[in-house]
Amino acid sequence: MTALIELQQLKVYFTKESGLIARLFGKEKLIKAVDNISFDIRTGEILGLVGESGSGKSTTGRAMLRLIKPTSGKILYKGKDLASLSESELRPYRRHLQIIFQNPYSSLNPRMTVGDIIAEPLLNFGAKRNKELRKQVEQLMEEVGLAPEHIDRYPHEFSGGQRQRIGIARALALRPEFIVADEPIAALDVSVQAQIINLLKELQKKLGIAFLFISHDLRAVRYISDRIAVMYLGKIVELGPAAEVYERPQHPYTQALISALPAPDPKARSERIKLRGEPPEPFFMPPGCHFHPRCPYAFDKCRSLQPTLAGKDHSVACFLSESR
Amino acid sequence: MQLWKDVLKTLKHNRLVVVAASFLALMSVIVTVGPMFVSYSFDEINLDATNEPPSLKHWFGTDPLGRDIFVRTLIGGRISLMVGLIATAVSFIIGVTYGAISGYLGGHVDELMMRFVDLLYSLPHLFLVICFLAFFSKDLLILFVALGAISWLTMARIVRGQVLSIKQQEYVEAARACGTSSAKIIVRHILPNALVPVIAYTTLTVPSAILSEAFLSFLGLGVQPPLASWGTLLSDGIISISVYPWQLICPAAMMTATLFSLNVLGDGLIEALNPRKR
Repeated sequence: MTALIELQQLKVYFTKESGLIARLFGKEKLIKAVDNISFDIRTGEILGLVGESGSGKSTTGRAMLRLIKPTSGKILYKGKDLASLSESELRPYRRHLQIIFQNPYSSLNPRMTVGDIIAEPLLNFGAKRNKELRKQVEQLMEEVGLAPEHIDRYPHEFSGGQRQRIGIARALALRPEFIVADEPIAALDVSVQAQIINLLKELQKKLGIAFLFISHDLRAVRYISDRIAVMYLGKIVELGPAAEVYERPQHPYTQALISALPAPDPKARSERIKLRGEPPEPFFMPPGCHFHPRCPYAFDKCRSLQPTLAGKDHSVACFLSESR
Repeated sequence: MQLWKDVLKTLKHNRLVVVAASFLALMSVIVTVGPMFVSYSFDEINLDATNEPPSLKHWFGTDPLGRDIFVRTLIGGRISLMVGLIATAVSFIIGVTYGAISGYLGGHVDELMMRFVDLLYSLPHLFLVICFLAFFSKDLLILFVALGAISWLTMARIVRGQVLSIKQQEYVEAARACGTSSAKIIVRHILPNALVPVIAYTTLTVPSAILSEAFLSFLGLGVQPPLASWGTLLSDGIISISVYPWQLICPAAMMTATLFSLNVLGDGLIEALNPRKR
């Protein structure tokens, strides 16, 4: 299988607002939200992206769709670099690349009916406002499990799970090839989470859409993804087939994350790896491996040199697995 | 869009709004064609019938020069409603466009555009209008435009603030992601959601323009006698309030009823724009 979309050395840096004096002396604080990451997503594949808050997951997702302008690096969609295109040159590509948002409350315009919300992408790409369009919107609603007769209702008349379905219908309307699902279940009740995950999986099977599934719920990611990428402070520390990463995590950070998951069997006792401290301030990154201050296995090399992602199918950015 | 159809439907179901709207429509018709059907003209002086109380002959009585107050109220209404309408339209068009562009573009452009507003804001408004009138001519149209040109500043600030917060919303990002153009994003997503404070402020602009005009007329810069506006009628009437109260009460009642209807209409619109209240 070939890569549908490929990131090459993508960087997204933000400068922290600073005063005039700091600017004059060049002491601007740079936040490296996404720091030199590369990976690809194949046609019809679901790549799970996990990491704690502030690790740069959402920024990565948004930069892939050019909702945030990357500082440098390439975003290759079928070989075409999206990062170099202007907003108007980008528009034709938008129909193939869509997004589902975390918060089903703020992602729907409260003053538009469901029909208008789902029809918007279609209208942007040549559809005319007529009976046919309405029929198409009704079909989309049915596809995601909404009652088509609710087409003229407003978002506030729906529950969180239903609103998320509206957002999914909007993303599916143009039959995209790639969807960024940015924590699509984080704001939902546990009972509804499973429904939405199953809906996404079902649609993915039926339509063959590739997904970047962003989440901090490792088990949801394990369930839905083909491969998993783990992010820590703007870098990918581990990337591999879902079962591999989940069953045999190589990076100490991934190991700690997985050991922190509550076991389904209450009697099972597993050894929990406790991490020391907190993630550092984003503009005071530790030298060397970003994870070394919290890593139980850190040695001298970790404090001065940065490990790179290495390995073929299952790659890890850690000196420990290098020496192994 | 479905929103505007629904807003119209809600407005039609609100009885108070219907009454207010009909009153305003009726009022506009009366002040335009009414004076033609009254047998006196607004500047016809009759020294044999000064300060007469309301009667069948003079519905609102007469003033110290024996002029019919009813016809003067109608003529005054014409001027005042025009002041309110044109000044508000000018402030609405400039303010909303300016504020929306400034807020949407953000960054340095926003900074520059808003500092310009601050600059104008620091000048005393009515003084500015007076300069305007002295510089050009005491033409009524200049007066209307000048009043509008000072009230767009607040409008621009309100709209900009709204746009700044709304453009951060995820539904705007979603619209960008599905290929909606910037112009369409402003018109379909940002403005409808920014409209509530804008309408509230607009309904305040109409009476404040009418009152500013009254003040300028009092200084001799607005409407020139013998022409009248509601403002000049009130300032004339207040002199004799203890002796001939109808000279104040009659035009004041007309003005109050009109402004009240405008407020009801504004409130109705705000409510109709909230999908939760339908």
